[in-house]
Formats: sequence, C-alpha cells, structure tokens
Amino acid sequence: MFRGVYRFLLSVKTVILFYLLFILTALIGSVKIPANLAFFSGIDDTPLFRWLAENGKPSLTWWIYALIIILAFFALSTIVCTIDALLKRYPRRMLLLKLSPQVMHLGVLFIMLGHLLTASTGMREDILLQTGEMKEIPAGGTLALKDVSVRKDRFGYDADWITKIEYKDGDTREEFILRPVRPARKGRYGFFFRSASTEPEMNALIRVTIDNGAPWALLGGTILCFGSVGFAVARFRG
Amino acid sequence: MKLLVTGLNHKTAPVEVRERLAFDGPKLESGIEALLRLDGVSGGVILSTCNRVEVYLTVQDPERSIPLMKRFLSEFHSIKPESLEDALYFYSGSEGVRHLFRVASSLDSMVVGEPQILGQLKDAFDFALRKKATDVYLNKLMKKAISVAKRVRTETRIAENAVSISYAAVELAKKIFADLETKTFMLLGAGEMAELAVRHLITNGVRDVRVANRTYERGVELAREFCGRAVRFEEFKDELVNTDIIICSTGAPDYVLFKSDMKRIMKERKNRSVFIIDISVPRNVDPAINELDNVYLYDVDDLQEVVDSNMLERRKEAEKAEAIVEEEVEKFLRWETSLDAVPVIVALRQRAEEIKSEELKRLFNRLGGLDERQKRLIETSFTAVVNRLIHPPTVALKEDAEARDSLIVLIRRLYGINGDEEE
Amino acid sequence: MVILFELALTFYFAATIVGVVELFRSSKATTRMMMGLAALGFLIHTVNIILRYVLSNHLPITNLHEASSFFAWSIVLLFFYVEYRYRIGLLGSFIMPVVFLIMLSSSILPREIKPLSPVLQSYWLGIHTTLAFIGDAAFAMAAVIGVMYLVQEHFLKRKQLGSLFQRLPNLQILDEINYRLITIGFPLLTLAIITGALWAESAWGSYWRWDPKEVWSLITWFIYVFVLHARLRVGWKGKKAAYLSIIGFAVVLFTFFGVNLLLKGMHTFVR
Repeated sequence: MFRGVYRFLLSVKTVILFYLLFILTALIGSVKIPANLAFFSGIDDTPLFRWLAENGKPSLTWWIYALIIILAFFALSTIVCTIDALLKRYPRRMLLLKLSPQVMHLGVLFIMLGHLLTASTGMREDILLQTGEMKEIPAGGTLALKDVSVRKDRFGYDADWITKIEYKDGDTREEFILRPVRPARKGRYGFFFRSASTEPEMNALIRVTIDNGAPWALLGGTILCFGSVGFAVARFRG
Repeated sequence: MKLLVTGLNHKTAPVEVRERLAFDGPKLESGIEALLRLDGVSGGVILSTCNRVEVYLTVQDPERSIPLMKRFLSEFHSIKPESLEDALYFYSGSEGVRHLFRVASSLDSMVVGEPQILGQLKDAFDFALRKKATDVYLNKLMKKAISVAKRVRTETRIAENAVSISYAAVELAKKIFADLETKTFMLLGAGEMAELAVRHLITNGVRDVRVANRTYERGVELAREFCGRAVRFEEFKDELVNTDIIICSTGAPDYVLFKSDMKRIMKERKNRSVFIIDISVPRNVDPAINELDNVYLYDVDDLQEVVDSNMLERRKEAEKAEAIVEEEVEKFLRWETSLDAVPVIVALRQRAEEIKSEELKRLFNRLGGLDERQKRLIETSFTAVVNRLIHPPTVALKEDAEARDSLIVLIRRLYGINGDEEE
Repeated sequence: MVILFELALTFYFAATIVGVVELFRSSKATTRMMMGLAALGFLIHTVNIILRYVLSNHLPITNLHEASSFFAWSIVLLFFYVEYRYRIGLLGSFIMPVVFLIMLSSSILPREIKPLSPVLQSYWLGIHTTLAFIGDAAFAMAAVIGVMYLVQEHFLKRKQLGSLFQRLPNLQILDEINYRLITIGFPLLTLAIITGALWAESAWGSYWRWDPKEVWSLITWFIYVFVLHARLRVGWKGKKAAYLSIIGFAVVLFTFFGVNLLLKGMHTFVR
C-alpha cells in the first residue's frame, strides 16, 4: 500500500496529468476573475482562506479549491521525488547537475509553505487616515497621520509621496515615514503606503498586514533562484 | 616509344564480357608477364576493376600493336575475337594520356567522383612496379595521373557530395549527429557494400564498432578487422539500446527488426536519435520503424536517390575537373616531346657546334694572322673531333630502343640540355 | 526619435527579406548582407532606446510600444550571441522575421512617454523587466531553433534532401542549443517572477495578487518546468521538445501581448 502510493507520487505520468489539470484550472480562473470582477475585487484585501470562508460561492470559487488540492499533490510529489533523488549517489562531477533540481524543489516547497501561512494566518487591513485623526488597528494598537507631502519631478509630475505616520501600541510609540515601495516594519505589523492626497484635505490610505508566510516565501524564492541558476551553470559546464 | 591504351568499360561492354576479361588473382601476374613478351612492348600496367579492364602499354608502334593486343586478349581469356570487336577501345599518344587522367580523376567512372578508382589505379601501378613491368615513361605517366586525380579532388567539389551509397550514408549521419566520434555503431550481418560503409564511418571518426553476424566466428573476424567488438546475433537487440548508427545487411528473407522492438529500445535509450541504414534486399528492417520519433530509417533505394540527386550537382563540378585534366594533359605532352630522340640529337649537335665555334673564334684571335687555308684546316680537325665524340651517343639513341628513355634522360643531364621537363 | 525607430524597423525588414532570399539561394554575400543589415538596425535601435531612456529618465519599457521594442532588441542581442558562439547556418533567416513582426506590432502601438506612477519608480523596474525580457528572448530563440529542428527533421524523415537540407545544421546541435536556451531562459524567468514578487511585496504589502499577468507568468513558468521535466525525466528530446518550446513561446507571447490587451491588471503600465 505504502509502496503503491510512493510509486504513484513518483510516476512521471501522474505528475504530467496533474500539470495539465493545473494549467487547465488556472486558465479557467484567469477567465473567471475578469468576468466577475466585482465579486473577486475583495480577494486581495483579506487572506485567501478567510476570504473563501466568508465569500464562499462555490460556483465561482471551485477552481481555487481545485488549485489548492493540486498544489498539495505537487508538494507531496515533490517531497517524494526529492527524497528519491537524494538517496541515489552521483559522481562528484555530476553533483551540481543532479542536486540543483532538488534545490529548486526545496525552494518551491518553501514558497508553498509561505503561501499556506499567508492564506491561513495572515491579516490585511486598509486604513484611511486624515491628518490629526487616530484610528484603531483591529488587531491592536493605533495609527495616526501626521503629515502628507508630494515631491514633483522636473516635468511637474508626482515623483514621490511622503507620509508621516505615528504608531502606538501600549508603551511603544513610533513615528516613521511611509512612501510608495518603501514599507516599514514595526512590531508585528508591516505598514504600506497605498495612496494619498492633499486636496481637498490631507489623507492617506495605509495598509497594515501581518504576514507570517512572507519570510518563508522569501526564503523559498531565494533557494529557487540559486537552484535554477546552479542548474543552468551545471548544464553549460557539462 | 608510344602509349597505347586498350580496354573496355561499363559503357562499352556488359558485365558478362567484363567478367570474362577481368585479370583477377593469378591471372593478373601471368597476364603482365605474357604482355611483356609481346613484340614491341616495353612496359605495361593492367587496371582491372568490376567496371573496367584496361591495359596501358608503351609500344614502339601503336598501329602495329593494336591487332596484336586484340589477338592477345582473346587468346589469353579464351574469348572469340568477334565478341570483343565492339567492346574494345584503343587510344594512343595524347588520347591515351587524356583517357588515363580522366579515369584516375573518376571522370570516366560509372558514379562520377567516386574515390575508389584512384586506389584501384594505385594498386595496379604498384603491382606492375613490383613485377618490374614498367618503364621510365609509364612510371612518369602513372605518377602524374595520380597527382592529377589529387589535384582534381582538392580543387573541385566533385568528391564532396555523396559519391556512393556508403558515402551518402555517412553524409546523412552527419546531419543527424553533431559528432560521430562519440557515437556507437553496429554492423548487422555482412556484405561488401556494408563493409565499405563501415570503413567510411570509421574514417569519419566513429570509434565504437560492434558486429553482429549469424555466424559468430565471421562476426569476430570482421570485428577484429574494424577494431570492434563481436556481438552474438541473438543478443543484438539488447545492444541496440546503446547503439546510435546501425547498418543492416543480413541477407535474411524477412525482417529482423520490428517496430515493436524499436519502440521498446527507444524508450530504454530515452529517445536518443538512431540512424538505421538497411542496405539488404529484401529489406531486413520493418519500414514502419521510420514512423517512430527520433528514428531515421533509410533503405538502399532511399540512398540511391540521394546519390542520384547529388549526381546533378556533381556534373557541374565535373566540367571544372575536365578543364584541369586538359591542362595537365598538355603539360604532360610537352614533357613527352622532350623525351623524343630526334630533338635530343639535334640539341646535342647544336650544343657541340656552339662549343666548337666558340673555341675556334678564341683560338683564331689568339694566334692571329692566319690565312684562310690554315683556318680551314684547323676547323676541319675540330669538326672531326666533335663528330667522333657525338657519334656513339647518337647511334645509341637511334638504335638502342630498349634503353632509349633512360639514355635520353642521361644525355640531357650529362650535356646539360634542358627540355621542358618539370619537377 | 520617431525616425530612429522607423529606421531600425526598415533595416530589420530589409534583413528579413535578405534572410528569406537566403533560404532559397545562399552565398557568402547574402549572409554577410543579412548580418550587416541586422547589425545596422540593431545599432540604430540601441540609440533609439538610449535616447528614450535619457528623455524619460527611466528604462523605456513602461508602455507596450516600448516593451515590445525592447523585447525585439533583446532577441537581436541574443541572436548575435548565439550566432557568434555556435555559428549555425540560416539562423538569421528564421529569427529576423520574428524580430520584424514584434517590431511591427510595436510600431502600431501608442508611443508617447507618460508619467510614471511613483509605485513604478523603483530600481526594481529595471531588474524585474530586464530579467523578464532576456528570459523571454531566450524562449523566443529556443522556439525559432525548434522550428529549424522541425524543418530539418521533416526533411530527414521524408527523405527530401534538397539544398535547404544541406545548409541547415544537424539535428543534434539544434536540439542541444534549444535545450541550452531553455536552461538560460528558465532561471531568468524564475528570477523575474521572484523579483516581481519582492517588488509587489514592498509596494502593496502582498507578494502575490493573482493578477492576470502573474497568473500567466506562472502558467508560462509551469510550461517550462514541464519542458525541463519532460526532457530530464521522460526523455522528450528532439521533435516533442521542439514542439513544446514553440508552445511555450506562444504562451510567452500571450502573456506579453494578450494579457495587456485583453485582460486588466497591475501590469497595464499606466493607470
């Protein structure tokens, strides 16, 4: 029984079948989202699992479940293949060529783990602040907008937004600057600049997140990069 | 001394006649010996291949030797002279030189540009040399013919396109594989054409050779010849997993390799390309195998088509080759005239006259005041000395037909008379 | 500046024509002429890109016109490299039409330089897009080599051994280069996706948003993962690998043009 499952997961044919299933399901998804844009618009604002639990319309979201199941299979199969490959011995010259695919597998596994954590335990809130106003973060602590300014480039277009934010949680009190693509990490939260305006009044839309998966995904991405570059190097050397 | 070429080839005689006229095995040796005994013959080379039988002779008088040759050939091979009448051709002098150069350059071959004829000509010449059947003239002629053939080969692309079936097979292999050095090869069965193809492959870098033959001993023998390894015929399919090029020529009445076999083999070798050449008739490899991915099957007809299409290309190159041959024939003829006795005698006399008049002039100047009679006496005496010195070589050149060629060379060197001789 | 682009396009067109002529009657002169025209076009193209960079102060790949122009430029760059490294005959005759078509579609797209939203004004823009474009160029080249493989394979199977067959390189080298290009393209695509995720994370607080471009990039990535597994594990060499690399490139093209034109998302450049 165990051997049978092992064989099944190791079999190239099963993997190919799942590949095709995955591509097909993803295709359906990429058509469904733009067709029901209103329904899916919130998908980005809350962790995936919570969003699914709250907005469960199986007729529109079944493909997401299917993708999760297929990905789970891939994770299993990848683990089995990696173990299988690592158990074999290779001559030293072939080591990089034979091991780099397994390194890539490891990277993919970490990314999947990260995604799982993000989807299940994360938090994501967009908070609209006006200057002087203080708002509560649902998971604890408060946020206030101190100042908003715009830097223009030589053509007169917006080049940068600078928002001064104050974050308080119990005894801790921090003031920091938030700009586009320059997030800040304070306590257990990540803070991100989303948008801001100075007219008619100064306000800013700030995203607050708890993302336990991100570090894992970052680690996985790094490992994947090293693995794929190592593979290319090994192929060209051989 | 004149050149006389007597012979027949694939254009003038059917294979039945060519076969009967062939000088093969012991016939070659006795044939050459008999030729040299003929009247007026001073040297001979016999070229005998499956497409042509030709006798190259140096004779005193070609016109007189032609009927002699006809009689000799019919008697030696016991064929009625009438059956040879239409088949035989005769070329003498410049015609003969041109013919030889064209033969050596593979312009007269059935497959124009095929390289084997040059080797066959070299062998024929070597054999005659060993039998001491050649003279100075024939030696020079044969060496020239070989160098002309080499020039044609390097300066034209006549031999580049697949010249024979075996060559076409190698060319195809080079379009499938990047480097033949790392490829493995198997000969299935035997047969002359197959062996030729193997040799071509080996000269093109294939190193790993296996031979599978129905009779294992023959396989071992062949394998030794190609520095390869013999495989039992029953096991050849297992070996195919690691074989990239296969030549099949077993003479079996039916297929020995089926599509289902090959399908399994391709799976085992992870679809690495395979090139199969089936030159057996009837075919030994199931033609349906060509439908499989990464398997390329060519039978003898396919290869023949490649050869035919290349033939057209080669015809253009042949024109270039003809021009080279013509140029070389002219060069050779210029050398040949320098071998003639009369010009040597004339030149010798001229040289002697030059020396005589130079010396006389100097003597008259130093003595001074000589009258006409004295001058005439001295001159007469000088003339006598010169004539007596020149006489013996002149006579030798005129009369000693046997040694004339070498004498001419000798005299030219001794007296510093330069002809058109190159090299 | 407009003139420079049209000029490059014209030279590429001329190179394409000469390249097609070369398929039927090649000589040293036609080969040299094709390479010369392509090189001249490339030079002008490069100047055009640099000029746009100076004028807009960021890498000129922020609208579809610039992006496809840059894509074509990367393919030509890679073409010169492969030509220099492997010297396989007739590659230009197959690649230049692709370059010309991409340039042509670029020429009909709007060209004005629009202000860049602050989110896009990041060093990630250069890293992420350059990686993606060079990767895509490698996939384009792999597909073209795949086409050459299929042509040559067709000749060998059907036993049509004409002069085109004589001049095309051997199957093994085509297959090997196809494989190599995919092994270059794959890490580049992987790095592009991961740098994209990092950029998204710092810009929007989530590294993956399932926007159409991301989904299609992932599909592309999965196809090349499939190509590599098929080669390594199943032994799909030659013909099947060639077909796969062509399918892969078709998906790359859809991700590149189709997603931008048909589906909306983060990567529509200007919002």
